[in-house]
Amino acid sequence: MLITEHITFSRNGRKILDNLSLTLEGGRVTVMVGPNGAGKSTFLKILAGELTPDSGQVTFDGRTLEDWPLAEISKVRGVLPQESLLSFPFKVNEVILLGRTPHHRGLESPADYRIARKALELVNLSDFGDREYTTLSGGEKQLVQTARVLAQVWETPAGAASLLLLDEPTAGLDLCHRFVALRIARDFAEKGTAVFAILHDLNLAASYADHVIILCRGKIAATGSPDDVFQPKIIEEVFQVKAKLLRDQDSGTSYIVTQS
Amino acid sequence: MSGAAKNTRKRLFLTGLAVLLVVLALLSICLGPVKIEFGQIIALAGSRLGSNAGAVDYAPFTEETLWSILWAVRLPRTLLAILVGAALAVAGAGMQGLFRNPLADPSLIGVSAGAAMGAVAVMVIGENILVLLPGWLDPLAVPLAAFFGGIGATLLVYHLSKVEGRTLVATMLLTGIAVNALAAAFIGLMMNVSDNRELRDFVFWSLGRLSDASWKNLGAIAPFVLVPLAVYPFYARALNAFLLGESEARHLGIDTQRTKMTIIFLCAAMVSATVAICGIIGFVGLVVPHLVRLMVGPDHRYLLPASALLGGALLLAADLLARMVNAPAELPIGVVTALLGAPFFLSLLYFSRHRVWA
Repeated sequence: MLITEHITFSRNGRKILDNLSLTLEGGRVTVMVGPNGAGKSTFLKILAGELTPDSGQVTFDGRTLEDWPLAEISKVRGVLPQESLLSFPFKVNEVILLGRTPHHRGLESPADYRIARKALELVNLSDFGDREYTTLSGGEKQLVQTARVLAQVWETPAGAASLLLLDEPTAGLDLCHRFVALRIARDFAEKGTAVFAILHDLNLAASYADHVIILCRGKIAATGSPDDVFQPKIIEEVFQVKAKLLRDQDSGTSYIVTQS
Repeated sequence: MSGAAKNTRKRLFLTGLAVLLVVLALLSICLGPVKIEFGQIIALAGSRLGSNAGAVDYAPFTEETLWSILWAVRLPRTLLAILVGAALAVAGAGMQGLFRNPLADPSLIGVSAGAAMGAVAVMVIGENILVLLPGWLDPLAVPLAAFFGGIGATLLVYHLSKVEGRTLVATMLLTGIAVNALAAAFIGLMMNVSDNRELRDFVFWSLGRLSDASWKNLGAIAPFVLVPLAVYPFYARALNAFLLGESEARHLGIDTQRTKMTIIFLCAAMVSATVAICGIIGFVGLVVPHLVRLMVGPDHRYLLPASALLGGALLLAADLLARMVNAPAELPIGVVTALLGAPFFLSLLYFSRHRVWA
């Protein structure tokens, strides 16, 4: 379980995050949505330990982030960045094995190879193992990076918490693979991992999130279950668009439709 | 999957490179204005170790003459070529991993030039300072000055071209141009105040040469080269993670700050040591890691040792060429590596011009 308390962060005198307190629970997918510049990526970077907040603290599994040795937390916390710039001709297999870096001192074990293979299967790229990473399409690269991060937190010691931080995991993916990526996030949550994802597609968020946080100008505009949060009135206020809910008669699911 | 099989192939490649290095080293010892045969080398070594292997024909030379050529000339030169080649290639591989860019060659981005400035300063004005230092520091004075120059240039190019974990490739290369120009001007200035003999010495040094090989010089640079060569492999895992990006490496549990500083300091140490004795020998750090990547991929666990071996082999080959082409006169080896390396660099730019290097 990850708890943030009163996180405030400014850059160049501008307050980007303003007194943010929230909890990411193990076994749940928490999705953050919000307009551009709301501070979502900054918040994720604070959870990832890349940025230090001006005030407030982040506690993961009972210890503040500063108290976690890097070598230890990297075994249980995976971070998928918005974009990855890898320009060296690694094979796809090798990229995914890099995700196992925290788990070995120099040479991968057979278990590492096995996990890498399974992670590749999970993102539907089993045949891509020997392809050169730099020749892949943008979406394929994103999936390989996802598999790398999954391989990193593949199995956690019994009783230990684990955390996945995904910054726009569906960016650049086709319709089918968006569902694949989020299905995987759900599967990891089911195994007990706390999953935190930033998304832009509200309907995707609604169908895969247990908990949604709408961030607007560094503050929480709404938080709760997708049904609670995705109200036309809230969406109109936060995103400055017209919104309404349409109900699909067959499945009973509601969809958010927006217009400018 | 064939993970294990592939590693076998990589190890085979390493073994092949080691064999190549040994063969070239033997050639380098044997060939020259005076040819020494392999059998004679064995006999010479044997008789020094006290075992009299019987009569070996040394005509038209005496055993003493051949031994002194072997011991005082060929052997130090061969070892120097290996040390310098390995140092430059591994330094190049390290810089490229750190900058996450295959164009980061120590001579292109100004590390060598910075070291050259340091070395020149001590060579010319140093005699007045040297008397103040304890005598045992004398042979280390030039390498040390080169080291500080090299460190300065590396830190400069690093801080100018790395912004929020990304490398600004243009800035990286432009910083190199600026430092190179500064070093050229500085060396030119020093040439102005040199006498004729010093001038000639300077010219050949600044073109890159191996002709200053001696046991004393080898001893002076050995620690600067051997320590980094021994330490770098411990950072192979970190450098691999670095290729993904700096924050990605951190997320994989790598102490990025320590990695960066270690790589920078050790790279500057290796490059500076070679510059102090041999001047600027360009493109080895660019060409060698690139060739190795084509063969075994970018995994630093293989890239680093393979670059060391191929770097040594390449410089031995270049030195043989430099000695043989116009014997008994010899070309400065920096001229040979530039003649081979610059077209290689241009072709690298040509084939990658559509690629965005971030």
